[in-house]
Formats: sequence, C-alpha cells, structure tokens
Amino acid sequence: MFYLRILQTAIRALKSNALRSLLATIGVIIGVAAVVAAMSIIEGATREVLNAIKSFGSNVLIIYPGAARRAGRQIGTVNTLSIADADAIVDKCPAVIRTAPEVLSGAQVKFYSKNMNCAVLGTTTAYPLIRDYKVAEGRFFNNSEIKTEAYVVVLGYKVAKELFGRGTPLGFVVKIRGKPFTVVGVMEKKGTMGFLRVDQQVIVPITTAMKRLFGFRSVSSISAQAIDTKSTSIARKQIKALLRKRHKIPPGEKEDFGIFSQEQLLKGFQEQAKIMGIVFYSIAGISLVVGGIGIMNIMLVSVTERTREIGVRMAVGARRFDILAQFLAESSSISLVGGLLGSLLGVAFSHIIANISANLLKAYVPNSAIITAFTVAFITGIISGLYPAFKASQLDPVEALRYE
Amino acid sequence: MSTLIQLNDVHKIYNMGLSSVHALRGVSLSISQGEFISITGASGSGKSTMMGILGCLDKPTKGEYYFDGQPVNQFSESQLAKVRNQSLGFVFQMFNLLPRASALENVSVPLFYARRTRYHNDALNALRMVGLQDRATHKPTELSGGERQRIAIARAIVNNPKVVLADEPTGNLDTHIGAQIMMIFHELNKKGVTIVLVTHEPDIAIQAERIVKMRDGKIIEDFIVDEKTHREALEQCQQLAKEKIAEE
Ligand SMILES: Nc1ncnc2c1ncn2[C@@H]1O[C@H](COP(=O)(O)OP(=O)(O)O)[C@@H](O)[C@H]1O
Ligand SMILES: [Mg+2]
Repeated sequence: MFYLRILQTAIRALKSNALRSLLATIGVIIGVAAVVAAMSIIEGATREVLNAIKSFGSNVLIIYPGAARRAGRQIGTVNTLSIADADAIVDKCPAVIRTAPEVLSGAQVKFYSKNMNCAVLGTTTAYPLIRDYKVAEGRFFNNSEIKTEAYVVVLGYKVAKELFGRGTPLGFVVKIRGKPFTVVGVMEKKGTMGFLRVDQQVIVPITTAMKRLFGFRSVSSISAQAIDTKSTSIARKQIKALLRKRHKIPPGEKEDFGIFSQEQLLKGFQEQAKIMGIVFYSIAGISLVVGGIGIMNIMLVSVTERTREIGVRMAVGARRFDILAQFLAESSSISLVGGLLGSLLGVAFSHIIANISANLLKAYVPNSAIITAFTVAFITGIISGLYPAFKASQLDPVEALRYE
Repeated sequence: MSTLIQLNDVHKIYNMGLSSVHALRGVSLSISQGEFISITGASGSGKSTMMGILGCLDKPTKGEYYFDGQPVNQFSESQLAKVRNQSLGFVFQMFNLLPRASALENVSVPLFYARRTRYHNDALNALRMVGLQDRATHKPTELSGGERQRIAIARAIVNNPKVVLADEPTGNLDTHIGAQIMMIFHELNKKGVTIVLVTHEPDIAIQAERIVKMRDGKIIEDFIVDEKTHREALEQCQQLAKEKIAEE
C-alpha cells in the first residue's frame, strides 16, 4: 500500500515534467526497440526456416555441384553432376530409395497474349514423390515422355491461375522460350518449398529442359530421399563415397559436390541468426547504456531541483529509505514507460524490416521479447536511479531546508 | 508540569573548510509540556540552528538533548524520523508546501510517512482546524500566503504532535494575516500543544507566556511575560485578526 502510494507520487512527479521525462527515456526506447525487433525478426526467420525445412522433407538430401579441383587447384566450373550420377545413387546406395535430378532456370511462359516469368524446373517422375508435392489436375509427365524428350509441361498453381484464370489449362499449348508445350497437369497449391515459390514454377521432363530448352550438359542439383529420417546421415555417407569414386577424387582431395540436408540448413541459419543477434544486441546494449546515463542525468537534476522538497519530506517524518524508494520509483517508472514505447516501436520496426525485405524476413513477436524488454528497461531504471536516489536519501535535512 | 524538552550545554559548530562557525555556544533550556514560548534575537544569533536541533533534524556538536525524557543523541536515523513524524510539527517561514500536491495531499504527507492506510478524514479534520476545509482540492499556487501557512500548520498538527516548532511563521505575512496565524497557535496551545515560536517581532513575541532571547549563540535572557502585558497583546492580536475578517 505504502509503496503503491510512493509509485503514484513518482508518476505524478514525472507527469509534471512529461517532456523532459520522455526525452530522458529515448535511449531506453531505442534500446528496447532494438531488443524487441531483433528477437521478433530472429523468431520470425526461425519459424520461416523451420517451415521451409519441414516442407522440404526431413529425409531429403540435396546434392549440388561444386567446382572441380585437381591437386587443390580449381580446374572446372560447376558442371560436375549428371543424370547418370542420380541413377547410380539409387542403384548403389542402399539407404537411398529414390533420386530426382533437377535443372532449374528461368523463362517466360506464354499463352496467347498472357505471359509470366516463371522458374522452369526440369526433373523426373521421382520429384513429386520426394517432395510430397501432388498433382491437383491432370497428371504428371511419365517416363516415356522423359525418354522421348516430349514437349509437355505441368504448371504450378499460380501459373495456371495467371495464364488460364478459372478455365482448365489441360490440353492447351503454352510457349516456353518460344517452344510449344502441351499442358498435361497442374500442381497443387503449395506456397513455398525450401525457399522456392513452387506455385510460380513450371515442370518439364529433365531431358527436354537440358537438350531442347537450355542446352545444359549437367544438372543443377539432385534430390535424394533416404529410407527414413534416421537414415539420412548414412545416406549422406554412402552418396559421398559413391560420388567420390565416380568423380575419381583421390583421397585427401576436396569433393566437387556438396550435400545439403536439413541439419546443415539449420546450422547455416543459426550462424546467420547469431550474427544478426550480435548486431542488434550491440545496438541495444549501447542504447541502453546511453539511456541509463540519460535517466541518471535527469534524476540528478531532479534531486537538485527538489532538494527543498526532500528536506520537507524528511522534516515531516520520511525515512532515508522512503526518499530512496521514491526516486527509485521515479527512475524505474521512466524506464518502464521507455520499455512500453520501445516495445511498440520494436514491433513496428520488425514489421517494417519484414516489409522492406519483401517478406523474405517475417516478423513474429514472441512473448519472451516483451518480457525481456520490460525486464531490461526496469533494470536500467533501477541501476541508473540508484546513485541519484542514494544521493537524495543522504541529504542533510537542515541543509536541504535552507537550500534556495 | 512535566519537562518535554531539555537542552544541556548544547554547542553547534559548522565546519566550512578552513573556517568554522560556532552557531550555538552552550545553550541550556528546559521547556515544559503545554508551554507557549517565544525565541527572539538578531539574525544570525542561532535561533534556527536551535530549532533544527529541537526538531531532531540536526544533532548538537556537543551537549545533550532529552525529548520527553529520551536521549535524542542516541537515537538512530529511523527513530529520529519517527519522532519528527509522530511528536513534532514544523511550520516554516517559507511555508514549504509541495507545489504539485493539493492542500489535502500536503496535509496528508505526515500520515503517509506514518504508513497510515487511510488518511482522508484526519487530513480533512486538520484542515477544518485551520478553517480551510473548503480549500482541500486547491493547489498551493491557487492560495494566498496566509492560506498557505494555514495549510502548513494543518500539516504540522495532523499527527497530533506534542510540540509545534514554528520558525518565523509570520515573517512573510502582513500584520493582519499574521494575527490570524497567531490565533491558530493560541488555540492549539489551549488544547495542550506545546508551541515554540521563533520571531523577531516584539508584538508577536509578547503573546507567549515566556520569552527566550538569544545573542551570538547564547541565551542572554529567559523570562516569564507578565500577566497583564501578555493578556493585552493577546487581545490586540484577536482584534487585528477580527478586523481582517470584517474587511473580507
Ligand atoms: N549550514 C550552515 N553552515 C554554515 N553556517 C551556518 C549554517 N547554518 C547556520 N549557519 C551560521 O550559524 C549562525 C546562526 O545561524 P541561524 O541559526 O540560521 O541564525 P538565525 O536563525 O538566528 O538567524 C549564522 O552565523 C549562520 O551563518
Ligand atoms: Mg533563522
């Protein structure tokens, strides 16, 4: 009860100097905003990445090409993976049940006057199975169409919507790089997979893509599916050993390919998040120190201005501790207001960052961010108020009453 | 009557770097419960210094102080705060009200530090005693000097203290208003409150039963005002106070 009243008194004192109190708390506002924004962006990104990883399958490995090297010197470009590699992996690696070689490029897809810039994926029939990505309408292309390098295409959900509206695209012919492709199917709505927006992608047989569309001689990547999640690390070892042998890489030399898995993606992301965290928390730390000094300064001014008031309070029976409590209540109230405004600003800031990044980053404000913000603000207030409050409490009442 | 205040050979020396000021040089004084005593003397004679010691705001450099039989020199900080809160009431020349607080809130401050949970009624009663219950919600800036001093008196008496220590309470007020303030002190004294009043106005000093004169940190005179002079002064004060009320 007594301390509640102390708090009321403190709030009144701050209100009577509202502008000054607000200015004093700017450092805390910025510091807290940085903490909240950092935690929100990191949390949002974590969720995004976890979703992406989940959507790409926990037992999926992606093999991607690296530069070919001999004796430590780079001798080739990144054309190191082939369809034959993909086939060999299924044959020789017992932990792998299927593989899909993939080539990826961009092209304009046209249907009469409508056109759209799309990602063009060339792959095999294993692709929808590995990615658990289903055909919504029509069918996927088949093995004989791959063999004959047929001009058939399966449209992503958005591509179909964009080019055909409500009507069915099945049986119609779209032009990709000027070549006519018959639409045989439309994929389900999926959003993003990994980090690709598969709804804006079209899928063609890998042979057609390599020979007839882009003239590629190697593949962009190979997706491999392990028997189950537990087997991914065994699968990784088997693939590595096999490809080293197939690519004739002597022991001790670095591979000309890499194998990407969920764990690695997560690890990579965590590194990024750490760096981002360090940057934000440094800003926060500096701002909070500056903010703390600002509050301390304003509290020292306030103690000097109110020397007489302190004397009067002591004369009518305030104990030294009561005076200490009063000024601590003021400094922590200032900084808690800073915490509140900073939290709001931080939330706004994280959404602005998310927008600027074109939703590459997403903001998600976790409860822990708000709790941390208020704790940090409160502690800043207490620490920065401690010296001025102590000084106030140690005033000599007679001197204080004589103070002009 | 029992002795309430007892000073034995009290000295106060202020050290200011190289020089030092000997503000009190061996003051001995005994004040009984229920007395009305004036302290007079030239500026710088040590009156306020003595009031600070009587009010447990300051400690003597040398000498003893007994309040209600208790040795104040041996009190802890929180005991001193408690005595100031419960047994003493201060009235200052400069009023010393909290500018942001209303009259009622100002009067409540001692109750607040007494850790009382409810204090509205007591504070209002104290305001009624000084005739300002209808100014309860006013801020000090909205009140006249006389009214401010009455609020300060209400604050001094709200915890029913044994003594009211008033250091030149009428110094900033004109004669009529000063007389009104003095009437409040007389009323309080009638109810048994001990009054120690510092003043350098002779008209006011002789309204007390006893006058203590100070010079250079010493008591040079300590005498009982003769009955007749005292009564005449009181009547004159009453008259002055009334004139003012009639004027309004
Ligand atoms: N805090 C202090 N520091 C130094 N000197 C002081 C202090 N307080 C009072 N004095 C000195 O002590 C003497 C007595 O002062 P004071 O008690 O205020 O006198 P009065 O109230 O009778 O005018 C004066 O010379 C004054 O300058
Ligand atoms: Mg004085």
